[in-house]
Amino acid sequence: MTNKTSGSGAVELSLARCRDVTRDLPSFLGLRLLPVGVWFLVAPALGRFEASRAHYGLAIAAAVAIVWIDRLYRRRFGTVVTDRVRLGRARGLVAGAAVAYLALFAASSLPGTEALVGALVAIVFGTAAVVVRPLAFGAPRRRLEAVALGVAFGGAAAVAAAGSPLAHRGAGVLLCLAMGVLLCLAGVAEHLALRAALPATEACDA
Amino acid sequence: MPEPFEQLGHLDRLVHEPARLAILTALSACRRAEFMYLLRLTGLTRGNLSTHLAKLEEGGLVRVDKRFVDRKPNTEVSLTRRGAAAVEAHWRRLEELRVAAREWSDERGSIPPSLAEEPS
Repeated sequence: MTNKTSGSGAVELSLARCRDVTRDLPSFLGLRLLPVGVWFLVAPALGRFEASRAHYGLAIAAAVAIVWIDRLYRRRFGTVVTDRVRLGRARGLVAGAAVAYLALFAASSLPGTEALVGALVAIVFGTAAVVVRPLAFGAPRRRLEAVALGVAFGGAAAVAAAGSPLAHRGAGVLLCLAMGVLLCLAGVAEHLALRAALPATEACDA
Repeated sequence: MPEPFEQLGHLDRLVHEPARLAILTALSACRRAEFMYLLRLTGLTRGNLSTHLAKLEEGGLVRVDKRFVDRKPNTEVSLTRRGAAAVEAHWRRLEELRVAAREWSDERGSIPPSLAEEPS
């Protein structure tokens, strides 16, 4: 149903859009994916997935950037608190995946464990990507994105499990770059969708 | 006046006004939303949105919480139980109206008789 509001701020209002955008707002905040995408693009230049100052520095920079972008979104678009049960469950899974990832990242400093750690990291990330995001945000576009991430990480797991230096250096780097590009594109696409759904008005900019 | 159109007059005007219906529909899809979000979503001016929210609050349909976050004013709006019931009832009534209007149209044909008659 489409209606026209009265008053000086008259715009076309689709009630279905109001409901859908509000329910899925967290999944539209796409620029938060950019730091992770950039991390994947830069990571191959820093060497393999193993504990190093450069990797830790990059991870911290990405985390800070995500927090900063989140605050920017809050200021520009305001916030919406959606269903607590769904978000609560997703947050638990994200936290679990993050802890598992950090543990594996630290364990990778042990000699001779890189291949195993690489595979486990890929599996943890892939599982998180496939399970957590659709569970939390459920929009069809996000499900597709999650499947793409899952496939990419599944491939990374297979490459890492193979354990050959060639697999690590060649296919691993390609997968990292593909992941980075995919995340950056997905992030920008989500952001553009958000801009289209919530266009700036004079009242917002005042 | 035909039956379905008579029922139009019984719609709750507090809910049925387009901007307020948009606000209530958005709030029914979440637990609470910030004023800035509703401003962005509806495209209303700040004054208009404040007025609509005041009316909805007066009618007991929404709860408006004003507070300070990082020394800046922050307004959060949420639907009350009464508001949720009102939105639900409103959509149900609109659906009933749609069905009634379709039945009425089927009974009389899709073109109103006054328009269907050939001019003499």
